[in-house]
Amino acid sequence: MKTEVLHKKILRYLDGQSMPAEKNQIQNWLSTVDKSNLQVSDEYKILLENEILAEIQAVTEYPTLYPKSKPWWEKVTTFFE
Amino acid sequence: MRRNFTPDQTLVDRLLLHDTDAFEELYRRHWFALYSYSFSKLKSPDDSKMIVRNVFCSLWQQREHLPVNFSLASWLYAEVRKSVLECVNSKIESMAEDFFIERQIIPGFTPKELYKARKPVSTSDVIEKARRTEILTPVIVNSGSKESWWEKYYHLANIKGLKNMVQTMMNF
Repeated sequence: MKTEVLHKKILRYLDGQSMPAEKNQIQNWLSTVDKSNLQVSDEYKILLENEILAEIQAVTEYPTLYPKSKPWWEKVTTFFE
Repeated sequence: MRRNFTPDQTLVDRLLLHDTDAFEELYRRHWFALYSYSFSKLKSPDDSKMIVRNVFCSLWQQREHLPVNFSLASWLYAEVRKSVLECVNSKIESMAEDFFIERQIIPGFTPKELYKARKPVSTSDVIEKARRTEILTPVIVNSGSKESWWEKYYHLANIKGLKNMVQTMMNF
């Protein structure tokens, strides 16, 4: 298959106008499981997890808009300050 | 690490109350599966990161419009599949990674590769995967050095063995 053909097929699929055979072909490609699994160390995984979460927080700004409520012990200690 | 056993559905319901803890818990549960799926398709850490980020941003933005019986896992998977295709499409359009498309994406559309999608996952594949991820390695290493009795005889513990044992007991 040539790149142009693939491009047209993907465009038709994304527009919801693909033929059933094309639809099957693309869905099968999406369903194939790659046996060479992604292997990352635990440290890198945590780093990546926090990095993506920080990006999400920057885009959605939810920590600013909906700040986390303080835990109960912090609420209690404020009375004694 | 603190474990949270709250079901996904409860956490999704809490999103309506703008519960950011619930959102982060959902993110921590699902991000890696989505990342590894998009990485397996695109072979690009940057694109995979971008897809995961966009999917979760979209979840947060749509939290007030989610249907009642909303299945988070299916929604996330559908969104990632769509994003992967859009990413491939944009790569083709930009013509920047022709080599990547020809070497990585197009071979995946051969009938032989597509046939794999219809094949069920075999036990040997699962064992091979576990071996590769070093789940079984400690057992293999230990069995070579010091063999315990259960390691020696565990292969005999099957239905046939149990049947024979019960028959012997009945005769006795």
